[in-house]
Amino acid sequence: MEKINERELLEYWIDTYGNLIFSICFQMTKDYFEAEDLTQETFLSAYRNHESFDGKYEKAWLTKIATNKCLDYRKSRQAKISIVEEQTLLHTPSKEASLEAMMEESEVLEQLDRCCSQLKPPYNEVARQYFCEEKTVEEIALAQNKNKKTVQTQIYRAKAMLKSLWKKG
Amino acid sequence: MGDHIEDQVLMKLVNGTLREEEELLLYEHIGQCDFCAMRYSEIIEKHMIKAPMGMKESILNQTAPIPFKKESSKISFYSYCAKAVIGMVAGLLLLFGNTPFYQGMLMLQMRSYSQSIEFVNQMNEKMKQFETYFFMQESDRYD
Repeated sequence: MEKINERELLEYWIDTYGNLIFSICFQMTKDYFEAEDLTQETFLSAYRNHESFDGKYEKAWLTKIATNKCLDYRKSRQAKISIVEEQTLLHTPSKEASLEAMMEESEVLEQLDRCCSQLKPPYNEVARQYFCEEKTVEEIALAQNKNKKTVQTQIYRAKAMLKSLWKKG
Repeated sequence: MGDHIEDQVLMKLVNGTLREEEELLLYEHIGQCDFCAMRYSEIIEKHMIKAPMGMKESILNQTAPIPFKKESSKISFYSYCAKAVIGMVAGLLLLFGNTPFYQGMLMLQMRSYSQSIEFVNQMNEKMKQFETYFFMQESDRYD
């Protein structure tokens, strides 16, 4: 019975704070797909450690977890970049403001759409319908007269390709 | 910075106009401070981006309980206990198999077994004697 309540609590957190946590992760990383992974890690961490939470300031607690997850990601990414720069560049570039201003949702969707259009068929269309138009797997399978498993596999592969396309900008 | 991040600095952080090192310091503070985390989240809420499709399902799937885990662990526990007991008995037999104690126990068992056979033989003999006597009586009657 207790396990069921914990899952209900997690569902409530995701429904209430899902967009906020994702927005925080995106603001800190500027990477749509990394932000998704970090959001998942945030909620899973909250779920595993909910007993240590005192029940006050739920939003602030989740924000802190997300911030720390993103910080770890940025530090490890920066460490990797530094190693590569040391090995390949003659002069290390100065550390100026490296991230752009806050992106609005419309700009994010535009960039997502651009990335989807760079994929080969059938991945481009499946990716656009799933990531940009937010259709479900069932809807896509029905519209394209495909097997549900086929669509799921195509989405999975498209996502892997979109991850690297997004990083290239 | 004092105890908390000033509003102007927080806005610069969100707008991405600070240097990388400054950003990291501020985020480290936000990661520890409820008050600043709350203020930061309130600014982000004004510029929210919708989470990707399927994210909720993906998270919940990672917390789904494994079916029959309790049952299979019970069965494997009992199986383990049975194996342990069998192993112990076999070990004891090997250990004490050739000791005087074990030999003595075996002798006792054999003695009681031979006593049982002797009893059965005695009964058989008495039955034969009775049978012989009975036939003799019968034959005398008809002579």
